[in-house]
Amino acid sequence: MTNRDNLSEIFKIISKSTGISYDKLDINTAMHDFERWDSVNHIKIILEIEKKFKKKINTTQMASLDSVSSIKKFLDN
Amino acid sequence: MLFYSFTYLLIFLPVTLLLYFGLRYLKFNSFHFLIFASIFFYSWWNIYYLPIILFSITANFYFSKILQKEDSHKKKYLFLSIIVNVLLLAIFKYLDFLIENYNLIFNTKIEPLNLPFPLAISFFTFQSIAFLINVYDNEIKEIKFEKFFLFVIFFPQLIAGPIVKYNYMIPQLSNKDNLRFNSKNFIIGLTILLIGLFKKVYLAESLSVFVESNYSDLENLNILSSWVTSICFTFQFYFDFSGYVDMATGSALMMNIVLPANFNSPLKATSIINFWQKWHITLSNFLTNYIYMPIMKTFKEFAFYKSLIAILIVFFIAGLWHGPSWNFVIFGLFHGFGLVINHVFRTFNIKLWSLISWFLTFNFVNISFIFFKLESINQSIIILKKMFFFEKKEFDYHANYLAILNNDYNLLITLCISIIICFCFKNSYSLIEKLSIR
Repeated sequence: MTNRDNLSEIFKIISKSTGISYDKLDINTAMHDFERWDSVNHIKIILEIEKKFKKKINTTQMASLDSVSSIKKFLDN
Repeated sequence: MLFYSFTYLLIFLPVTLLLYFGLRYLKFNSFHFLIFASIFFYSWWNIYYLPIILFSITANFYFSKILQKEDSHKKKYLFLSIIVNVLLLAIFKYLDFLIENYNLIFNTKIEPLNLPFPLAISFFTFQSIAFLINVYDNEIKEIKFEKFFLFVIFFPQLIAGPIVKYNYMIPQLSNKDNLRFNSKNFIIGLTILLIGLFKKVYLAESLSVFVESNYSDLENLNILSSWVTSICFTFQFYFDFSGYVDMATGSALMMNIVLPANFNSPLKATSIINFWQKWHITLSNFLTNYIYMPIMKTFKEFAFYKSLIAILIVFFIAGLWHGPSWNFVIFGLFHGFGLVINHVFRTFNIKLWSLISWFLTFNFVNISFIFFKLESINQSIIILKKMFFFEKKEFDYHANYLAILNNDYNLLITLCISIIICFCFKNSYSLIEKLSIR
């Protein structure tokens, strides 16, 4: 998957997990920007990312992946 | 040593600041000095607590070293280290509570142990558990004993938080530039400390006189006085806790150390979810990151009902963390159920007018604090009955009570100031951000 594909997938996962419209998401979107990206939906996002990208996310990372850019950086590495 | 005591404000803090900035000229290690100052600060309460925190620090440092070395049994050692921390907390904080409940259930008469309750044990236990998980996750690379020691015992945040992270504190404490006196940070820090002092000493203490006098005479409360008293306690509790944290933040800032925000105008919250994003923020973050999310991960597949169960478990723990009493458990579960309802509303996109949302949230929090304040469930029920059941014979008493309230100018002034501060002003952290430190 290319970096651009990653970004598109991240948007899809966040949109599906939180109900936030895909169009409203961009690279600068962070958890605190949307009320619907709360802790309940955040864990949904984490579990979806693990499943989709087959990457294990540890406890410390779960908390720090709180923005589109941090998720992208994590996946790109 | 209390932050608002003369000993702290006029002797300990000025001397510590003077030496903190001055000792570098003598090439004295600032870490060692801050450790010494923090040990002195902690021991001032009761030197008999010192061995317990020293044991915790030494054991957790040892565990962190094992976690860094181990590969094959890493998970087992993490569990063991968490169990040791929880056991230490349980022995000193919850053993008598367990004995009391055991006696009640099995009709036995085991004597309580009356062990001393080491100051700050709840805070440094959670902080150490978070540290060990971070080490397990390889997020902390370099651990030195003196750094870890100071991370746990650093006096501004030791007693009542905020709960800080190793990777957040150590770079600041290690930064040699922070040993240089910074007049801007000093002035902002002093301002925050004085705001905290005002909240704690004037507002919280003034309200507590009224609250204590009314709650010591529960039977004579009526619908009006029980509501006024509960609201006064809500303000008192907020000013007490946030005031203390402000003093911690201000003290640290004078040393160029920025502590994380712990309160963000929580009484303006418009939902229970929002409340916990604004009240005791570092505890909320700990509960979310180190209890809620790991529970959810064990479920593998996400389901909404599973997340609601996890919230209730987390808030049961949160309630118990506040103290060894069923009232604290009810306080935690009350908020847990509030969050569950809030999440259900959010999922089904049910929205209320913001003023109504605020009103419901404020009253929910106000009622929950009754369980926090009073010692027994029976006392809490008496107050709740007084608040929600009107007795006709009380009419005359209400008139008298209103007259008493009108004559109690000090209470009225304090309440007005409290309302203005909570709802019209920005909070201490907005002030720090606005003045942009460094």
